[in-house]
Amino acid sequence: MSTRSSGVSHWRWQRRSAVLLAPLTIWFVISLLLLPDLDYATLRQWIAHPGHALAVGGLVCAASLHACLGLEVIVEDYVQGLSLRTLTLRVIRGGYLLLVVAGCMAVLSIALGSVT
Amino acid sequence: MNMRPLSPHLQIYGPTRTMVLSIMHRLTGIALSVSVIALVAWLVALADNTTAYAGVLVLLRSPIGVGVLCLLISAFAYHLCAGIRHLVFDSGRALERPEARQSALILITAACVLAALGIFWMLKAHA
Repeated sequence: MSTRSSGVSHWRWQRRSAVLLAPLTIWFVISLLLLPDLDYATLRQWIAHPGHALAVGGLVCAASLHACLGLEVIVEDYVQGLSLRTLTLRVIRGGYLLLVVAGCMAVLSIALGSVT
Repeated sequence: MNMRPLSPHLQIYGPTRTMVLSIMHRLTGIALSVSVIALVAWLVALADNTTAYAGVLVLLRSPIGVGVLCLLISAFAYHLCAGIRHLVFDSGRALERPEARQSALILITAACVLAALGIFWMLKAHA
C-alpha cells in the first residue's frame, strides 16, 4: 500500500478517470436534457440502446473510481488515527464497489430486458 | 514534543484566491462523490419497475429535488472547469503565480457561465 509505485498509480488513475469522465458526463447531461421526457418508457428505451448502455455503464464505473480515489485522498489528509483511517478507507472502497456492481447490473438488466 | 517550534499553519495565512478555489474543488468533489449514490439509485429504480421510478421522478421534480439538481449542476460545472485547470497544471504549464491567478479568474467565469447555462436549460427542458 505504501510503496511509491502505488502512490503514482493512484495519481495516474485519478487523472485517467478524470479525462474519461469529462466527455462522458457532458454527453450524459446533454443527452438527458435533449430527451423529450424523463418518464420510465423514454429512459428505458434510451438506455436499452447498446451504445448508450455501454456509455452509462462506463460512466458509473469511471465516476465511482474517480470519487473513491478522491475521497481516499481527503480521508488520508483529515482522518486522524491509523485504525479509524483504515476503517474509513475500507468502508469507502466497499461502498463504491457495491455501487459499481449495482449500477452495472441495473444497466445490463435494462439493456437485456424488453422495452415495455 | 510540545517544545518544538511549529511552522505557521493554515490559520496563520489569509485566504488567497487560489487557496479558496482549491478548497472548493475538494468540496464540490465530495458533493459529486455522494451524488454517484443518487445516480445508481436512479438506475436501479429504472431497472426495477415503473412504480419505483415514478417515486424517484416525484422526488426529482419536487422543489427540493430541483434545488439539489441546480446545486449539483453548479458543483459539476465548477469541478469540471477546475479539473481541467488541474490537468493543465499537471502538464507543467501555467504554474507561475500571475498565471495561476489569471487562470483562477478564467475558471470562475467559465464555471459560472456553464452552471447558468446548465440550470437554465434544465428548468426550460424538464420543468
